[in-house]
Amino acid sequence: MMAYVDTNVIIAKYVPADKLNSRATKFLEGKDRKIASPVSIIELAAVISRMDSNMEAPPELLQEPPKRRVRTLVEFMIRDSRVFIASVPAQARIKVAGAVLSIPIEYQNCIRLAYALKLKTLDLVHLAYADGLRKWGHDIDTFVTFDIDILERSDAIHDELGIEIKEP
Amino acid sequence: MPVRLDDNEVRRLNILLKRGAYRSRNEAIRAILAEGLKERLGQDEDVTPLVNKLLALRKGGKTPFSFKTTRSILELVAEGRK
Repeated sequence: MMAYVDTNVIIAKYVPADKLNSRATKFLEGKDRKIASPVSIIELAAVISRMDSNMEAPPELLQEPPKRRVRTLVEFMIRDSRVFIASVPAQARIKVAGAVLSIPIEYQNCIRLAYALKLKTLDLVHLAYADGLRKWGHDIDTFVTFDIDILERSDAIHDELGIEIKEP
Repeated sequence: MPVRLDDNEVRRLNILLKRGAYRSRNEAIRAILAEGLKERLGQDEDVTPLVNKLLALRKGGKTPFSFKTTRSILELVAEGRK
């Protein structure tokens, strides 16, 4: 089986001083197969960009333009953590206020899940990706996260999606 | 290499010149073309050689980079989700 990995688990592996570092590292270096979505690429880029000025790195990395440096670190973290990145090649069409929109199918799923889960937008997007990837054939059975809101709603998420929520 | 532009494109180039973004239409076209080519060819995106170097450092037992922060990771990721 496979675990969908939340961004906070990936990034925690690269901040040695963080109290979650050892748990994240142990999980990511373990044997479980791991998957994440393009949302994690965005979140990793956003978090790394905010931490960039507090980074110690080899000169060749520091001399890169910031945009390429961030891109490099995102790709390094994904490859080093052995996380497979995947997305669902499908769009949904929805009608809103008279306009017909073509949107990522995960957005449609988020709208459907919003009331039942009452989570923040990006938490919903991650869960919708995990659900979508599973429906498209990836054998995801767990969602691994440190996010307190998601952990607190683990029963509701399991009822809605059939995915178990776990901490590393 | 002559390039034909329509009226709308010329009008929009003129707006950029008036804003002082470029000194001439020629400079503007060259800069915009260079940016577009870079993007299309994915030059900004291909970071594989550098990533491979970092992975080699890691494999050799070295920590290729580290972040110094007094804030927790949970906090840093969660603030982007608010």
